[in-house]
Amino acid sequence: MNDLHDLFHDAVDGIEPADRLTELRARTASPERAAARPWFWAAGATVLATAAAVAVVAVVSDGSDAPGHHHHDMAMDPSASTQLVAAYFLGDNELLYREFDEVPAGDPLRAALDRIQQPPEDPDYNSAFPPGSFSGVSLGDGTIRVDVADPEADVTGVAVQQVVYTLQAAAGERWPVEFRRLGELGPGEMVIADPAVLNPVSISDPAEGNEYAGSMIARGRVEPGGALWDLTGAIGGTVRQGAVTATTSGAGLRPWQVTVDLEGLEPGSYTFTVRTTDTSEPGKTTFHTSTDTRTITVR
Amino acid sequence: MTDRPVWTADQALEQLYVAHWRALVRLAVLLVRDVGTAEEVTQDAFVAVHARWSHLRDPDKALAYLRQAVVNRSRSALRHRAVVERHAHRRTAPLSEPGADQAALDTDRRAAVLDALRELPQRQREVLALRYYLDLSEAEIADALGISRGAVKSHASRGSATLRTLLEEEQ
Repeated sequence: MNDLHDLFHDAVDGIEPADRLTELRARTASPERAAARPWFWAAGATVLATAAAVAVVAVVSDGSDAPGHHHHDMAMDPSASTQLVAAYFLGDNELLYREFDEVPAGDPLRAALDRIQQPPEDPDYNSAFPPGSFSGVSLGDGTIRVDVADPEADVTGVAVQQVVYTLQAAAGERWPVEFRRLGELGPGEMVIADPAVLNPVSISDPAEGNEYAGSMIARGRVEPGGALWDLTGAIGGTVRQGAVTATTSGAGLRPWQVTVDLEGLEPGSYTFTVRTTDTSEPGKTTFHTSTDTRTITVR
Repeated sequence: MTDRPVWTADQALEQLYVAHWRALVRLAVLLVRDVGTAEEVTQDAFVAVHARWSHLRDPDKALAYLRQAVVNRSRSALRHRAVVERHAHRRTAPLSEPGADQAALDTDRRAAVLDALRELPQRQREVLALRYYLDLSEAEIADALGISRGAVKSHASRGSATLRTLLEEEQ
């Protein structure tokens, strides 16, 4: 009966739904939320009420069948105060890591491009592009076009993949990215995504600095070989550990998810680590591992 | 697992969203085909689970509730669409993400599965999606759809037989 399982997964697993968390938050906003999350709803209750009202209208009228339409409209809701973007940054190992970052609402492509010209949330990562590296981004006919403002910007190698992956995620399309230098005429340099630059294991959730009580759902992506996870306290001891396996089969990076039981842990700061073990060359004395980490707080 | 999270409704919403948004939208695509409709149906289900959190208070129960809400709302969306389509000739929405490699072939194969699912009676489609996409047990499916385990079994066997025939005709 595995054939139907595989067929169904194949039919829909490539679909990357639009991120509707901002709309959901607006539709479910309550006074307690405003009190509990002043950092998030800093704009105040008036804006919230408007956001909720407009979001409902947007949902009702958002039934277009136009190709690709649903990818681009969700984050355009002008009344929402923030949106999530998937932003790719460089790790020490010259591979790409993905963060989901909350940014001011607006054009999702522009917001994503702006995000990677700022430092990442996670101090283990960095960006190859300082603010002002790029001046614009737009969707063309099957391409994503980026205007390169900084004449010194090096749009090659792993660094350029930071831009490619981030903008493809924002566009919801795996289109090539065309880099055009300001003042240059004619077509720019076309770059496609290179799967070899993605870190073999990554954590999407939790975000750096999240707080939890009771339990925590962590998820991310991993190569088919899987990985190990552990949770380590500030004093240095490992308090929880387990294995991470991809939840779907196939080549390339696949999603993983684990629920970490936090009952009975002392409140405080912990490090959640996921690491792959390279066992491909038996007899080798040094292990090559890839890791991703997040600092969380247990309440 | 003896998880006893002390989540507020807002925290529950975010955790459930992070863990299940994608899979539930994809489930809804199997049921309603159109990605935009699937997102709306799933979003409504999340709003509903947020409102009911004080009764659920448990991630597993909340997930069961979400699945049920997605299935029920997909059914309503299809009913609504049937009315609309009597007036406007049917348009089929394209799939969301054309791949970079052999895109056309892949898209055809995926569209064929979704088209074939659309041909099935509603219950059979629901049972197959819950069974083969979410890997639910017969008991869980019976619970989600409010039907007997015997009915789940018969919908599953008839549905998968019809689906295979439809897909073979396609080739």
